Amino acid sequence: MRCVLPVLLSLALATPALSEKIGVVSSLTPAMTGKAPNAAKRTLRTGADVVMEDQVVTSAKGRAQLLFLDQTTLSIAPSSQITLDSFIYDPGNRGGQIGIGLTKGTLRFVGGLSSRRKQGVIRTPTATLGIRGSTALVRHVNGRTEAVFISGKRMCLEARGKRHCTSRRGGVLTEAGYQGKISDDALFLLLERIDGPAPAVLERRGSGGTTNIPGDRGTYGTDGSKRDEGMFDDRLGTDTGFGVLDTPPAAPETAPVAPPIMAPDPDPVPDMMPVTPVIEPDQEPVVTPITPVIDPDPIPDPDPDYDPEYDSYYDMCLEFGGDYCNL
Amino acid sequence: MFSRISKLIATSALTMGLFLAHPAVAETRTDRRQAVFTAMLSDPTNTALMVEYAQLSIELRDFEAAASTLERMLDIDPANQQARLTLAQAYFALGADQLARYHLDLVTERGALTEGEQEVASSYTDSLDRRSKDIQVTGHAQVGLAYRTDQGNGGLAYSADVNVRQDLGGADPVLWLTGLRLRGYYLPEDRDESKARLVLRTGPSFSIAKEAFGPRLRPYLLLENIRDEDLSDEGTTVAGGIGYDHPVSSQISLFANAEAGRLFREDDDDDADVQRAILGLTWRPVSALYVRVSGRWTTEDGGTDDMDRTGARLDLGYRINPGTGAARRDWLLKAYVQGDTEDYDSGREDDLLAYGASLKGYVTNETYAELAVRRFERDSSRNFLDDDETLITLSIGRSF
Repeated sequence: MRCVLPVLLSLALATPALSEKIGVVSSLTPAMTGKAPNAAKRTLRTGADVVMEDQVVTSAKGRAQLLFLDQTTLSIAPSSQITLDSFIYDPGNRGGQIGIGLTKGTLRFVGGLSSRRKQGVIRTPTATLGIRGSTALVRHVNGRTEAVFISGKRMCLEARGKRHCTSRRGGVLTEAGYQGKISDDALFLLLERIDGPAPAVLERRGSGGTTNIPGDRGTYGTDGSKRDEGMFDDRLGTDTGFGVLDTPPAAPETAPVAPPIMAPDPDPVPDMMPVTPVIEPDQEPVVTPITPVIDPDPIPDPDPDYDPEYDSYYDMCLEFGGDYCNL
Repeated sequence: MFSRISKLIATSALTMGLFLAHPAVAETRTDRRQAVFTAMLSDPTNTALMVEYAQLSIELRDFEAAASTLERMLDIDPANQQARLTLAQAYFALGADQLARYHLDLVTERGALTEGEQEVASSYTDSLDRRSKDIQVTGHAQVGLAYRTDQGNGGLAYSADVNVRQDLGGADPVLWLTGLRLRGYYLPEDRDESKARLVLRTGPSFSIAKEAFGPRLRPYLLLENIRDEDLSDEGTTVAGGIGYDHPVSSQISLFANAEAGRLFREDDDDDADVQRAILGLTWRPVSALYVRVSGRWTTEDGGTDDMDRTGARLDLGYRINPGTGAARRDWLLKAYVQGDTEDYDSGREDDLLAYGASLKGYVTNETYAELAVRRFERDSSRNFLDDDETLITLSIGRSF
């Protein structure tokens, strides 16, 4: 109960009263009417407030855009009728929920902050759409609902007790389920229905463009998140396992033993030179036969665990250089 | 467990993260954007406010907010070609390719674009053409001169990638990704040091939550072959693995990878079971910069000596806008440092260190030059195994 109360209180504070402004008419061509609960029908003009449960109707040639407090933008095509069913938005934590009724016509829903956490809901006479994160085109004509998922996380449609979802950009849902991806031509017609025909000539303005679009040509989530495409590839040629250095063979604990590096003898004596014993002058010379110890192989015996890949220290010298070449 | 080098990398990454994470800049933009939005609610047809709001949204990587604002702006001023071009780019960034194409086509067919704007539009159109195919093939080929400073000799460095991305269809896209990557160098004066590494990774990629964006899993089959003239590193690995990546927010994404398989060497007795794992985090404080930190673990059981390798790696990447020029693509500045410790059952312990930097600059939209400096060091408990080398490469390449 302790946890529920603050949530309920927060929602109560975030939910505007019926007559409270939840958005504005940001553009309008040429006219549109609105009807708030318990109020007479009114003509809406650009900049006019819209309130909860407003019924907004466009004429056969009328188009409009509404901007909501959570930054949701609703573009309404001609001959459309919508109801602003619900709107909860808490600017503090940027959470909330938006619900719109589409009785007839076509609209573009570009979600704002509230539909990033909770799905935006668009209700038609035949279906209920949930859009998360979140841009979609929705059409309800001739008793049939068609929705095109443009971008965001996911869009689901519930109708006749069944729920169908798509996360494919351009994916179309109807009451019958997923219909595949919309064709370019069909999409362009839908856009013209909402935005009107595009001008025959486009013109340069003093403003309107931005230049700071990221140049990496990646795809971003609606929250600005981006997949790290190079996480496994960047290391491919640069990690310690694939450098110019060879991985030395698994070396045993005691071998190979590198010989001590000694300073060169200025007067080297050949190992094989017979040793002459030092004889004291008054001493009978004792001749001790000295057998020179000759190591037939001056290289230390290979350790039994030594990597058999290397047949000799000559090979080790080629492989590793350094002390192996002094053996 | 971690070597001193790995700890140093982790500490450096954390320090840099705390330094760069200073929220002042982002907060200033966010506050400013909120102020502009409040002004827009009072004056919804003010196009100057809309331009500023869209610009700030793009800087904050909130492309959806930029798109909705530009849509409203075009409703007021449908002939504004700059707004339409930027809207196309915002839709492109959101992956809404069909809408991006709709606006790009209008701009190129009915607008009066400058040469620079035309290049931007046509490069986006090219990208859209590539992205619209069910089977997308991308890659690069690169060759260059390599010079080893310590040995004073040189040779060739080469690399090539081919990436095939197939959309398997359905309401929730499942992709089949195949990547073939080759890296190597040929040193004619010291052929024993020549090496080549070929990696094939293939498998599906799908969203865990069935969302267009968010955490994805990628199970795969891996074939990796290393050819080494002196056989010391030669071997073929056959493994199965699974990758996970999760773009958490506009600044943070997580990734992990685990694979297990068998490493086959020339001598059967040297074959080994291999397990590898990577856990990492990528941080993008601004869209042009990424900082990637990862921990890495490898075990090889079998062969002449069992080995465990543990380490850490720090990657930095920065995109530089070259301004005007034949190429509209950003240059890429990358740097990395990686430290690993290898523990062998025999008692041997090696500290490995690799670090380097590279600059990749595009001469045209496809052709580039890259200068890279890399250094490798091995510090072993068996002193005679100590080694180090610096490699400088200057390459030209072409991406497709």
